[in-house]
Amino acid sequence: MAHVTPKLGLAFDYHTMRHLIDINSLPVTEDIKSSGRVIEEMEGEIRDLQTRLSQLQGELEIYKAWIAPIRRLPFDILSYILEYCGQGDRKTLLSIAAVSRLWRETILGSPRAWSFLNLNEHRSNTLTRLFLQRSGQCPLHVYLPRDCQLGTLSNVVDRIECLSIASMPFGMPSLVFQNLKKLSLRGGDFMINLGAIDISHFPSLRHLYCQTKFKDSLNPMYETVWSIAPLETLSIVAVPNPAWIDLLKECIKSLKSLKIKYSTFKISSGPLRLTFPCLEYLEINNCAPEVEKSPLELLTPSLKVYVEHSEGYFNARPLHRDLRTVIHARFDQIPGLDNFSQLRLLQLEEASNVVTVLDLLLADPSLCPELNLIQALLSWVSDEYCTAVLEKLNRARTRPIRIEYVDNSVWSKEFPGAPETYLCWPDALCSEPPEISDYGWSQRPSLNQSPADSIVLSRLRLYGPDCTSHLGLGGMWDDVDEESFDH
Amino acid sequence: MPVLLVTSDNEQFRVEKVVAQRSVLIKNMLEDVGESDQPIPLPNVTAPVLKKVLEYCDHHQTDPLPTGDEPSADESRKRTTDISEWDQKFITVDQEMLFEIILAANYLDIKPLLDVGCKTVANMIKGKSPEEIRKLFNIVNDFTPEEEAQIKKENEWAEDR
Repeated sequence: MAHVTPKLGLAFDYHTMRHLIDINSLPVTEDIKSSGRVIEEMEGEIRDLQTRLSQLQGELEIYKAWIAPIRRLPFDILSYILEYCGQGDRKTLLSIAAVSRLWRETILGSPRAWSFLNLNEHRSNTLTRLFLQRSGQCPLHVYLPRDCQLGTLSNVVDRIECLSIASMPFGMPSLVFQNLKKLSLRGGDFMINLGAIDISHFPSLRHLYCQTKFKDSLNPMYETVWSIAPLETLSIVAVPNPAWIDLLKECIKSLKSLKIKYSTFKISSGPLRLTFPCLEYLEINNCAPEVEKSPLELLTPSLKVYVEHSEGYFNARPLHRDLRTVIHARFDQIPGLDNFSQLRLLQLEEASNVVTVLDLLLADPSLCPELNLIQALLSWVSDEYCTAVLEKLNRARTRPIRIEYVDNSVWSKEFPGAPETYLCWPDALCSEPPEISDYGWSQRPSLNQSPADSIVLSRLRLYGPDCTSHLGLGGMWDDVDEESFDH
Repeated sequence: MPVLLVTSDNEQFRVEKVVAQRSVLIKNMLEDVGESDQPIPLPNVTAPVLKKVLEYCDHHQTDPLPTGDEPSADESRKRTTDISEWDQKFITVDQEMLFEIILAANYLDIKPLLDVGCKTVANMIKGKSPEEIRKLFNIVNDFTPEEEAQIKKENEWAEDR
């Protein structure tokens, strides 16, 4: 057997050892003594080897850490990554702060990361205070669970920029939220007084997302004194009680985006005609059990986007009638098309409605003269009939129409200007979405170019029908490389 | 018209201008030199990394280019949370390559790619304990025992509900 000399220089003659141990013979006193010495030596060597092993492991870790790829990141990129992954996630934030000195300094130097307070997650006042301290003077984004009180936050209400509540916290009506811009009132069974959201409590409020209902109409005594800050976006539930109409009337001049969910069309105040001079986005969700005419007649001279969901009820005409300036419309059923003089993009939730819409357009080619793109949710139904009708239709139209099927990831992207785009964390990432006018319909190539192909499965044909993973990679507005489709 | 790019390890890549111009750095260089056959040196990018970056640029060549009117890079990063399916597959690489892509995207000024890389690293960190993060990225715990005690206290508050 070979004489083994370990690299560490601790020579050991295994051949001798093997010879000594004859397990079938009985050791004499001398054997016991010498074996004891060998055992001691071996134990000593094992200890030395273990020490060396730990030492080598330590050195290895230092070398690995020294050249670790993450260390090559510049401070600003590391800072962004840590802030991003810790946003609104208290456990990850605290983990990051406990990794190393550099990581701790980086995350403690990012006050915005600590400005998202989900009181559902930290009921401990100590933890809330820690977050408040580390968030410096950053505006706060606060999410209160049902029946949760403001507690420590009562002292910093002027720092709260976004607030989401599911019940009215004790003492809140007496507070002034000087800098609060976004208020989300969650929960269907939670009712609120109009007085609780007036301008004296929320002077900077611009975005109100309201899933709750208002208690009652304003007392005539207060009608002249009650007012709300000039809201830009409003999502509201329509109920028989006309308090929501009082709210609507108050922000008539400033509203740019409005979503109304009708749970009834029977409004105690009767039909109303209101003009919204700045309104650019209107969404109507019809959940009313009765199918009637909308109780509101809205005049919307600046409207660009109109969305209507009817939850299965068929309306022969859109619930909103002033559609002359609308550029982008979305329906979950077959829409009446007679008022869309500027419509360029029509989105149909049901792909099967495309055929009906084409038939409508073919029957009256003067409808939707500016329309050049119909988008529908991706469908594997045969488009042969569509192609035939479309070719016929496009021969009769000055502006040809193209059909684009998009997958759900593209479809579900929020539409320009929808109140949801203004929601704060944790419902959405809190940011100011682009102005609706920034969507620049006129600059979108897919809406302007004369289509080489009439029917487009968005990006699908670039990769062939088997490559479904490539579907809908781009945004709703992505241009489609038409030349590529030909190849 | 194709553009010739030369990496730090002297490899040459001939790519379509529209693809190369996804990089704001290259776009500006091309604008500065005008119509020219001169190769563009990229001393901070190696061939394997550039190959990967160009794969991204090629796939996203029809995406709208960022304009000066848009919000800051930080703002637009905060605006979206998800990474598209193609991008996810593209960025499924070893750590060495991942960080090289981030550095190259930063150097070449390709904001959407930088964004994808940063979000991928962030997703790797999310939900992990400090020890798991250290192990993942080979980071040494350099806190003193006193600092460790302070941190432990903080984490106890987090658990105190």
